[in-house]
Amino acid sequence: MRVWVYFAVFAALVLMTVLELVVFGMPLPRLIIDMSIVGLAGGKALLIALFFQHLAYEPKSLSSFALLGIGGVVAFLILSVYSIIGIAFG
Amino acid sequence: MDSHQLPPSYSIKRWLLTTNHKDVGILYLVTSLYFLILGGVLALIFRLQLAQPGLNILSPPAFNQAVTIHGLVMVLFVVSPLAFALANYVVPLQIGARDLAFPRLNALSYWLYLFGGLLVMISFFQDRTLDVGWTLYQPLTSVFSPYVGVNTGGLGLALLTASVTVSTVNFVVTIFRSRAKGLRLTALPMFTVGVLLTVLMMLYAFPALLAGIILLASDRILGTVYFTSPQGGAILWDHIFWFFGHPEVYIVLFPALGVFGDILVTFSRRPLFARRIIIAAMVVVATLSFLVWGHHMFLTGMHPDVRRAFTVTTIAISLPFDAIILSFIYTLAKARIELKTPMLFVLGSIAIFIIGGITGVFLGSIALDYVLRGTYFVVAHFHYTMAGGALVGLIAGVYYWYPKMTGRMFSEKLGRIHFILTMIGFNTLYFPFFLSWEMPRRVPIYVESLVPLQQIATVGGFIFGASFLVMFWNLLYSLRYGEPAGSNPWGAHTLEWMTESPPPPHNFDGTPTFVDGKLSFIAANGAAHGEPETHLSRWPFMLSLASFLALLGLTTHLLVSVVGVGLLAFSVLGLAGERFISREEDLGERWPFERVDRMKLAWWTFISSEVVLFGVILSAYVYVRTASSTWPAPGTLLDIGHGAVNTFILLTSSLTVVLALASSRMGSRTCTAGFLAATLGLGILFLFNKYNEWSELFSHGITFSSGLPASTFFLTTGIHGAHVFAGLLALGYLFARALKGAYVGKGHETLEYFGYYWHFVDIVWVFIFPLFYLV
Repeated sequence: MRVWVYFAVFAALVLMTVLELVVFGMPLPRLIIDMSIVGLAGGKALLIALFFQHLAYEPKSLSSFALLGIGGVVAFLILSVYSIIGIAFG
Repeated sequence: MDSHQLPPSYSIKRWLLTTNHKDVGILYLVTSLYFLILGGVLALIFRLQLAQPGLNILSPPAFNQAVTIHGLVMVLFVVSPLAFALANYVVPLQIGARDLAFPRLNALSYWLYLFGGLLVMISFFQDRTLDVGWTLYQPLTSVFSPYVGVNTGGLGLALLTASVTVSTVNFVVTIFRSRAKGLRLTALPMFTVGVLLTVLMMLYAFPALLAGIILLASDRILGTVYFTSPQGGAILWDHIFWFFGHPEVYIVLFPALGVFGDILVTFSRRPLFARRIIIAAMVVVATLSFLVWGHHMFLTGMHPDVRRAFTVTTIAISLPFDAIILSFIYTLAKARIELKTPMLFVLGSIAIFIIGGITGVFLGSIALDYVLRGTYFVVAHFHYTMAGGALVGLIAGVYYWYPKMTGRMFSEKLGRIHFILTMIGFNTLYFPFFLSWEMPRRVPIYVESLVPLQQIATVGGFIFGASFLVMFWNLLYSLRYGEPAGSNPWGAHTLEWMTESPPPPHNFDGTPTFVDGKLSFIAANGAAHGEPETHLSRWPFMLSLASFLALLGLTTHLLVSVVGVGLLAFSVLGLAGERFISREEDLGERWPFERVDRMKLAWWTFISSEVVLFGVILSAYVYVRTASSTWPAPGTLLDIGHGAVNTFILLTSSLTVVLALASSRMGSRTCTAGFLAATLGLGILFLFNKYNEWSELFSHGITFSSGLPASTFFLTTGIHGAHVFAGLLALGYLFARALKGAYVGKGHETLEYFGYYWHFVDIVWVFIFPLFYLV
């Protein structure tokens, strides 16, 4: 991979981190701020995985390993958190 | 004796140092049978206690310990390791490989398993061992069992999860990368199919257990409040434990299903009916197994939508099993069945498993579960599934492959006696449990009306126990006096029977291939590659011993830990510096990883397990935040500046790692070492900043136990920091080697593999920063 790609990805990562901090300070509804920040974090993670870990250039079968794990975690997160919505814990 | 040759089988050195998959398989077999005796004896003792409601054979605390250790040992130290014993011995033979992909890692996984078990055993002698039930429910474990032995037992489980992770990586890479040419995944023998799906489930299930153990240990030792606060507590633990625990049922069962498949074909002389449907059904079960855990929690009052979803998935998972069992039964239709001992055990095990499966559907019903949860009905159900389906099925496998392992036949007569005693003993023991469905489990006191049923069960327990004595005698006696077996005594068709019994160290005298659609052997194997492969290494044993001492010292004397850590460092360096020759097969079927070398595949497999580990820890954080009515606003508890600075530091360190890789590819020694040094410096800076942040919090009186916001922050960033620290140790080693010119020209893959880990640690922080500091 060409070195300039690494620098471009790094610049994007820094920019997105700055964006997270900017969004954090904006006078927007809390939900939009939170979702934007977590979305930016997801984007950063994707960039690192694709270009620093080179998954963009590897067979899809390799990415599927990590994706299966992520799928399991997402199922765990959604079902466990949804199971307590509306329940008071004091 | 050099490390390329195996010492004779009577040599202790061989069994301490061997890395050969067949020897490691034997070690697993002997050790799992030892734990079977241990768990079985514990069961017989509390069965005696249960023969009468008021008996005082065991004190109440001793009863709790016996029940707990029996459950943990049988599930984690007997059934799965017994499956791995067979998998170690048989899988490389079935796929035409000379050994597992990483022989030293294979030995390491065995020794970690053994030492993990030893830690659990030692905990018996530290006043009190784990006494909270094998499910380790909360807050019982975190608060009401404050004994040091419980900590030691928990550390033993942590060592076991390390063993499982290592093993999982090894089997995934081996089965995907070392198959004989032409041996497609769908054409694999059923046992190997079962093992492949098992290790894939393990890959994603066991990290959840490790995450749970870490949170639990943190609560018990550091004082965090994950499970002691009402916002986390029992229900959070239930989610984490059963996210691991329910797939674990299929993890112990699938190797047995594979055994069924191979034995049915051999002794019915017919191909497996609807083989592809069986494989597809197993894939569906493996996937669904991660979506059914909530049926263990129907009584927790969770959201009705979620309960309904778990009911649907629980009922749905029984459907593929119907297809599997019907296919097995149809294979037998009109077949000339040979009722040898392995086949008898398979037929008996399937019959038992059908009862276990049907009664499981009852527990998927919310209404019935309200009545049956926590009773002997559940105990009966899971023993019919896990003991009858999995353990008895694996015993069939032990008999089936015994001639291959030893070169001797066992006594068929004693085998049949064992089978009859097993069927009588098993059903006499466990069927009365169904009828005792009003009796709560784990309680030694019960109503008088149940005495006859409990006494029948106790008699059954002793018959079941005695049946194993017949097996041990048979296997030991036949080892010396059994008839010579020949290479293929059963007339089977899978590859392991196409070589001597027992096979030579390199397994086959030619390279097996299925290119023409049928088995043939080409060229010479092993010796044809010049320098012979290595079969001995002291470092797996040393590493495991060091880990054992390091953990044991935490609950005995810190000096033991210091010795352990020192030995660990010495062993890691020894392992890294050892010249160990293990070549990948030249001709191999590698779909879907033809373009991925085995180290890369191993690293990504490991990282997948790390994804689940951190995923569960972060999910626990989201869970407790959702459950909490109040939470400190961003910037009040934590300084956003610290988090932002550390984010920039780690992102920059990711850049320097890839620049080091690029430099090594371009042949620049100075730049390679320089960028590695920069990464090292950035990593240290990250930890230093983290140290400052923690110090500031401590100075303001905020500690591990200062509520959930503090607990979750310290634990999550602490685990992440430990990963950064481990990365820095590796970086120090890489930097030292880079200074000497390593990785330039060739060997730069090592930097790429390290990068996978380092970038993953970076990705975790990319989520920690917004979740803890900004949201």
